Amino acid sequence: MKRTLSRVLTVCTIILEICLFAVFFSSIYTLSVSLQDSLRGEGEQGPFIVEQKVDPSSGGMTILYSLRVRNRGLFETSMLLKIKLLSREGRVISEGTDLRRIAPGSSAELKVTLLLSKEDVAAYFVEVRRPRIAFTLDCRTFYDLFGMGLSAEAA
Amino acid sequence: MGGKLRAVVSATAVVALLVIAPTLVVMLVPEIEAQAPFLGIDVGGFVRTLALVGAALAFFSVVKNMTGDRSPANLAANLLSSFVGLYLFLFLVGLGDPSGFGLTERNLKVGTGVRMYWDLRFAVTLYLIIMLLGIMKTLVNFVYARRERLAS
Repeated sequence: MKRTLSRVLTVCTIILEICLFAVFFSSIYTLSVSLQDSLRGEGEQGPFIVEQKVDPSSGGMTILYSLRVRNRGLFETSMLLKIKLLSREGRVISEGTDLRRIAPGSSAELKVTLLLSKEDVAAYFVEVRRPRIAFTLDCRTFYDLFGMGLSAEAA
Repeated sequence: MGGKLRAVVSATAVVALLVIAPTLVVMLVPEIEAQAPFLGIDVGGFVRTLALVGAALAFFSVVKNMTGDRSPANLAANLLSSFVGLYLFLFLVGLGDPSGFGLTERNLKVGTGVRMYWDLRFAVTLYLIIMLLGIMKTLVNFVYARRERLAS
């Protein structure tokens, strides 16, 4: 009885240890390479490609942020991009998110569109009160059980 | 393998892995000490903690291998090494901060407001299950060894 129970526990422990080892290192590798590749980017001044459009009829503005994300890892990843436009006082002027699931070896484009009213454009798009941009890039893998991300703020 | 030889081999392996190897790596690759502060890691403190944990695990390993299953010292060494092992795992996945239990955030020292985080709570949960199974096995071995001794 003792031997059987002890053996069962030993076998279970060894199987779980192997699973932990394999899943842990594969996931860390997947997250690291995906995040690193995605942040390398294609934009001239950073990873994002930014397009601004003013609607002449309403006077509002549309800002489109796009980021090409890649998955060179071993598992499928889900990439979430969250962008906020913040006033100098910290008020959220506009925000948007985009989420994509990316198979290993493929890439996708995350696109976040921020809409600004005519009043916001008039209030914040003047030199002294330029808004700050805060972004979060969240990368998850292995059924979203492992995650890694980066967030930053820029003027 | 005899108990004494097994004790020496396992303790030496633990000391080599957790005490000698990290110290050597930091000495031979000075870039680590230059790069680590960007991630908010105190390399000196990290290596010292690893050495301390390594010494404790080596000591418990010697006690485990030198005593029988029915010895209370064996039971204590097994349980303590499980908990020290858990601390080591949390310390490593938290890059020196075990308090996050797998969820770690670091302000990177590049510009302002750049923050990196990693969520390894699933790995910690799996490790806890493995640890509990190990403790159960230790307790089963201990209880049955005591019973066998009482019966004989």
